[in-house]
Amino acid sequence: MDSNNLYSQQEFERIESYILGLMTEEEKLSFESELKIDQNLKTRYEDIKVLLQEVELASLKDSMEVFHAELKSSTPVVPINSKKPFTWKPLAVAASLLFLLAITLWVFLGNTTENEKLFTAYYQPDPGMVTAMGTNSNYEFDRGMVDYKTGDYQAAITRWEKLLAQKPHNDTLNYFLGSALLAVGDDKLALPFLQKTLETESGIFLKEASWYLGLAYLKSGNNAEALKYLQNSGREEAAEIIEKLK
Amino acid sequence: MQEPTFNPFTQDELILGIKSNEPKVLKWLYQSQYPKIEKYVAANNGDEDQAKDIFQEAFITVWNNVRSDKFIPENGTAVTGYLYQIAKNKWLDYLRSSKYQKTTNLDTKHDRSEEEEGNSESLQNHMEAEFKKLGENCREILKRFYFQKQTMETIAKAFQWTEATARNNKYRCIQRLKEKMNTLNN
Repeated sequence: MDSNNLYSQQEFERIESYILGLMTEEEKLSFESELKIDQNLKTRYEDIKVLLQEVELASLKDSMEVFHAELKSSTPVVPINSKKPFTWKPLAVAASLLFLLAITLWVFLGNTTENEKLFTAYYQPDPGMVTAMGTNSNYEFDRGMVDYKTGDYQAAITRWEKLLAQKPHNDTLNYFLGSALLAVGDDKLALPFLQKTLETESGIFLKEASWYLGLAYLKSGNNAEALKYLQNSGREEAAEIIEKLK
Repeated sequence: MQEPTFNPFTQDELILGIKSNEPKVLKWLYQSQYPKIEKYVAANNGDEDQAKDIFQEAFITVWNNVRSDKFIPENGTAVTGYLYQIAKNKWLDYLRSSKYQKTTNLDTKHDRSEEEEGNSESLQNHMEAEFKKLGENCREILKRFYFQKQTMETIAKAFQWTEATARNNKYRCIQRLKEKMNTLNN
C-alpha cells in the first residue's frame, strides 16, 4: 500500500494534466477508462488532487499576507475605539509630506509649457468599459481591460498589442490601446491608434477618440491639430481649452 | 483612479477573477473590503489581529464557494456584500462561542456547516506550514503554476531556466510536499 509514495515524474505529470484539464479529449477518455479499472492509479489520482488543492490554498494564504502587508504599509488604519494620547508626530510627518508635494508640483509645473499645464488640467484617462468576461473570443481583450481598470496600463498595452496583430481594424481595441499609451505618457505613440479609431465606420468612439487626440496633440505642442480634434470632440471642456489656446 | 469604495469590476469579472486566481481581482477584493471588517470588529470588542484572522477565513470561504458555484451573484454588490456578511457572521459566532467567554485568544476556527467544506483543518494547517518551509524558489514555482496558472514557458523564462529544468524543479518541489503529506497521513 506504499504504491502512492512512488511515482515517476511522467506519471505525476499525466495525472496532473488530467486534474488541471490540460488533456486532449482523446487523452482524457483513455485516462478515465484506466481510472475505472486501476485501483492504484485511482489512489494516486485522489492523493495528487488533494495535494494540489492544498498547494492552491497555501498560495492563496501566502497572497493574502502580501495584500495585507501592502494595505498596512500604504494606509495605516486608525482603529475607531483607540484612545491613544495625541501626538504631534503624524502631523509633522503629514506637514513635511505636503511641503515636499508642493515643491514637487512647483518644480514640475514650473518647468512645463503652457500646453502641458493645460493637458494636465484636463486629462483624465478613459475609465474603461464594462466587459462580460467569459466569452472566449474576447478573453484576452477582457483580461487587458482588467489591467487597464486597475491602472496597470503597461500590462494592458502588452496584452492588446499582441491582439492587434489579429484584429488590426478593431476600433475598440485601437481606442483603448491608444488610451492606455496616453495614460502612461506615450502621447506620440498613442496618436496612430486613436487616429485609426476614427477611420472605422461603427463610430462608437468617435467623440472620445477626438477628445484624446486633441489632448495628445496639445501635449506635444501641435496646436493646429489639437484645435481640429477638440472641435470635433463635442466636449464642454473642449471649448474652454480652445478659448485658452486662442 | 482606483478608490476603495468604487468597484472597478463587474460581478462577472469578479467571479471569473476569483475562479482563475487573477491577482489583480483578488488583491482588489481583499484590500477594498478588509477595512470595513476591521472597523466592524474594532467596534465590537475585537482588535486588529482578530479582524485579520476573521477576514482571511471569510475570504477563503468566499473563494471556495465561488469556485464550487455554491455562490452565484444576483446584484451589483453581491460578491463584496457576501464577503462582508460571512466575515460578520464569523465574528458574531466567535463572540457567542465559549472560547470567547474564557479567553480572548483567537485560535480556533468556526464551523458554519452551510458555509464551509468539511475539509480537514489539521491537514490544511500542516500543509500550510510545510509550504512555508519550502525554499523561496519552490514556493514561487508552485504558486505560479498551480495558483496563478502560468504556463511552464512563462515560469521557465522568469527563472531563466529551460522548460525541462522548470518541469523537473516543479516535480521535485511537489514531491517534497507529497512526502510530508504521506508522513502526516500515516
